[in-house]
Order: sequence, then structure tokens, then C-alpha cells
Amino acid sequence: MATDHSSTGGTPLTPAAFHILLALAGGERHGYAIMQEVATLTEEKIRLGPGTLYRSIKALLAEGLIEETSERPDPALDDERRRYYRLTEQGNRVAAAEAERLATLVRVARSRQLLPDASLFLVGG
Amino acid sequence: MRTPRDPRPVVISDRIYRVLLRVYPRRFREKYREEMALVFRDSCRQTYVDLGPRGLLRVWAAAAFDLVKNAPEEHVVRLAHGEEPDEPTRSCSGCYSVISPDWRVCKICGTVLNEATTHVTRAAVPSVSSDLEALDRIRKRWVALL
Repeated sequence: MATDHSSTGGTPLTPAAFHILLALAGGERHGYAIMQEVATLTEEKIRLGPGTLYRSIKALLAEGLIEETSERPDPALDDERRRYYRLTEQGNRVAAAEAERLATLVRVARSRQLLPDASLFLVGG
Repeated sequence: MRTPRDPRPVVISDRIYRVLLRVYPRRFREKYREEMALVFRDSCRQTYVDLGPRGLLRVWAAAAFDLVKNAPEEHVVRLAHGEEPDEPTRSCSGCYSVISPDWRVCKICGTVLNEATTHVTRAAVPSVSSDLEALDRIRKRWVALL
């Protein structure tokens, strides 16, 4: 049974798009904060440039997976030109579906010994 | 809250980057230029604090790659969606040759101007010299489309 991972009908999200959804799953953020969160989550392995970031945001907005928030922080504390984004309900579902797809792939990789068994990392008492 | 002044290398980088953002399609630029410039500026600021002025080289290397990769792709996406090409840049010579009562073509950049509707379309042809044969090819191409 095929799972619809995105509004494009089963097509996996691009890595940039998934990382942005993942970053926003932790709360609404503006562009630079999304970029920093992605870098943190990936241990600096992925750093989104402004072009990649905003092209992905544009696509995610068009697909209804994220939305711009109307709530803004105190203008005295932040640049008014920043726009904040958050996941929509559909975006939440799509991100969860994509995470499940990747988790399945990890299980397969472990079963074929491409990845160490997760139980090896358990610390015994 | 008053923000401190940025170091001069950050200010200069910010200005140069804002100019380079013109390579993106106009509509994309209008919507995201400010945010992209803010992200770049914030990256420069943080890197300057962490690594000093030389760290900006790393930011610029990444930004250059980001521009070269994404700007052309965004143009392709825009055209694939059937959006109108951007209007000609100010570098268009305006040196038009008449190819029909309503149509003119710029001999330098291939920009086509419809006098009747003021619709402007950039011809998808290589840069044109004053070579009459090349000009004739453009004329034939556009006349065929009319």
C-alpha cells in the first residue's frame, strides 16, 4: 500500500524540504533560525544557503505544508523584515510520513548489516 | 533595542550580495530578496564573530555555489510554469530593427518589443552581433511566430 508522503502523490520530499519541515516541527522560526536549526540537527553536515532555503520554502508554501505566521515578536527585539513560518497540519502529516519512510529504510539497513544494530548502543546496568 | 554596527567587511558583503540577488527571477526576488539578504547577513555576522574576517571567505564560497546552482534552476521552474520572462534589463541597447509593422527586435540582446501591446519578450537566442545574417535569423524566427 503506497503512502502519500507529500501532496505530489508519493514522491519523497527533497532533503532540503524535509529538513525544513523537521526544523519547523520544533516550533515556528524565521529563515535564519531554520538554517541554524538544520545545521544543528545535522551536526553541521548540511548548511542551507539562502537560495536553497527560500526556493524550498516557496515550494512548501505552494504545497500547503508550511504557512507564514501572523504573530510577530516585539519589533524592538527583531527585524521587522523577517517572516516566520510554521508547519500546517498537512505539513505535520507529510513530515511524519517521510520520517516513517526513512525509519523503515534504517530498519532494512540494520537487517542487512549496513548499520550497526541499535541494541548494541544500549548501556547495561 | 539598538543593534550594534556591523563590521565593515560584513556591511560590504551584504551590499554585494544584494546586488547579486538580481540574478534571480523578478517575482522570486520581489518576494524573497529581503529575507535572503537577511539570512546572508546573519551568516556573515555569526561567522565574523566565530572566525574573523577570513571566515567570510567560507560564507562567500557557499553563497556563490548557492547562487550558481539555484538562480538558473529558478528561471527554469518559472519558464516551465509558463510565467512570462522578466522584462529586459536596463542593459538592453534599445537599438531596435523593425521586423513587422508591430514588432521590433533589439540587434544586441534579441529583446522583442510589440509596439501594439508593449509586451516585451526576450528572444531565446545567443547574443547578436551586427552580423546581418544573424539578424535575419532572428527576424525570420519571430515573423514565423506572429
